[in-house]
Amino acid sequence: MKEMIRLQKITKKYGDHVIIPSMDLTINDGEFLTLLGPSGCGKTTLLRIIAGLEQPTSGSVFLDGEDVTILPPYARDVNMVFQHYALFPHMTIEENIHFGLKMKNVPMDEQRERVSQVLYLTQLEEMRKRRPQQMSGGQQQRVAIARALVNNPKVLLLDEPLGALDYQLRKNLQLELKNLQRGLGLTFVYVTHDQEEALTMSDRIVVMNNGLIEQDDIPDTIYHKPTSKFVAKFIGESNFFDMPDGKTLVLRPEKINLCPEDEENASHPEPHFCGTVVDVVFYGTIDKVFVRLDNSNQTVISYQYFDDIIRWQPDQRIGIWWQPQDGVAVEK
Amino acid sequence: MRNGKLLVIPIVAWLSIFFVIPLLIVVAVSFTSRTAYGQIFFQLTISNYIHFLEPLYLSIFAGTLFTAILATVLTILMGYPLAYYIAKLPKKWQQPALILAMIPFWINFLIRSYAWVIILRSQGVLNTLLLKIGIIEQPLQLLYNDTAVMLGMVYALLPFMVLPIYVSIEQLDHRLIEAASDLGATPFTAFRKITLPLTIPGIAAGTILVFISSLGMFVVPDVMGGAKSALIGNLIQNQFLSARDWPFGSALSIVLAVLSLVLIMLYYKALSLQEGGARNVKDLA
Repeated sequence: MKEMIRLQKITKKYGDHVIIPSMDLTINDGEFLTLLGPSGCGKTTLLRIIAGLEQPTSGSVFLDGEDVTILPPYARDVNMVFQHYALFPHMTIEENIHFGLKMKNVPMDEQRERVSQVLYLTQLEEMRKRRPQQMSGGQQQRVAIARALVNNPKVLLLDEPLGALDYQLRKNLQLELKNLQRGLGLTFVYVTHDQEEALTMSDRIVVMNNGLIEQDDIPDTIYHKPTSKFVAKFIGESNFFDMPDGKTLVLRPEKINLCPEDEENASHPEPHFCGTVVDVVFYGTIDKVFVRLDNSNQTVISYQYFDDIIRWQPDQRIGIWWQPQDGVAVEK
Repeated sequence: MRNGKLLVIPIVAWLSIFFVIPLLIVVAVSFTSRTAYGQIFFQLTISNYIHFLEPLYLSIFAGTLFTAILATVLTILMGYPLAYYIAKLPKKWQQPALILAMIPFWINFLIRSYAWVIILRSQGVLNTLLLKIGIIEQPLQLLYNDTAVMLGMVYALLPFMVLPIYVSIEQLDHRLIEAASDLGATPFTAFRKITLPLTIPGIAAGTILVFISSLGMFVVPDVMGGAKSALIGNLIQNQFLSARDWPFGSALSIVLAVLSLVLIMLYYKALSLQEGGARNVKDLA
């Protein structure tokens, strides 16, 4: 696979404050890569270093094989979709989208053609004469993407582009973005703190914490085989059990099965623990069942689907069990 | 209080008594004539306005307009870079820098004008210094000419330009500049295409403040200008205080006020027609 971006020993410090201790990362051509982590983990800083809006304290940035570390943002072949869109309020949608092409002195005929193309792609044709302030958040978001895409960048950088939108719209735009990226075969570097968003859209997720990479893998592996307690905690819900060998066993709530305490002739393994149901919370497609274990007073969460025969009730005595292969051992 | 509208009664009363009524008196007086001893003679006439159309007064008027426009342009050219510089200072230095720009306001304007006289006159600070260094052999005539008047006006009015421009630059979303840069704009182009158009509201506000103030200015030409540097403000002042021709002074005041109003309306109209101009002021709010 062709390499598009290579970050080599990138460090970033503000005075004594270290944001990124040292980072090596390669991003492939056509990949949808997500930088995922809590706020302050350095993911946005990393994105801005790729864009050229920040200079790394040391290390190099390679874009398509070329060292661009010292190039200013306006000389780099990447474009950014900003968190709050940063659309120019004194220009129409059309003028906003034309801006990048004008800066590069693209011939007017070609400008018009390319602008029409992205307007079509982002379904903004009817709004070309409007101004950003006259549009909804979702529409502004589309303009921001169109304004970046029209330049045919080698990489599109997206800084929490859906962060300001409401849930339903975010869901729709996630799919739209993913389809757009697939259709164009363009490299996306996407920054978010929303783990669900990362799992839905990405080809590959880099989980960051305190400026370091916690795990770098495909979404499936990140979810099912977290390599650290941090990743297991940050992505999805998890149950943790201390193991005799000093490690921690991670179990996703959907892998935790429940059975009556006094069940006989069961076809499944012996319950690992017994406990009491403390609460059952309705979540639409699932019930979240909270079980307090007898031996440790720990509360375990289990997801139960509706078509299950039994609906559990608070104060009920139950056993919990899981398949051995569903548990993942991580360092404490 | 059940009705919040009652709260505006004091200010409405204040403005009515101390602003609207005097203004109406001035309008009324401008249509009267005066007696030989300078008293107002109540007889409806437009002779004061006809009097104004004499070439002497028209040329003073034109000179005043030119001076005001020049002063405004100069304060923009000097005020914008200063405001930009202050707005780009680290946050903790911005307030002190603004206070420095404001400090002259704490001293009476008349006294500040005389301070300039002390600096610029023949035996003044500047001439003495230049003579001592040997750059000149004869004292320069720095005072009592149009240049001195312009210097005094720009000095006096610069803060009125700096403050609104500073506010508009300071409020500008920095991410817009980053976005422009990301899209290929060099720093200079980003300034020309983004910063400047979006800070026009600040320039417009400063222009109104400076332009109106310079139209009515009479202290600076009085103290620092020569006999030839009389502006419309001095003319009006003379009608009331020396010539004792209140009706003519009133007529001049009205003409000045109406002209200011018309010019401001034209100015805003021009801004709102211009792409990227004041139309967006409303949008941005």
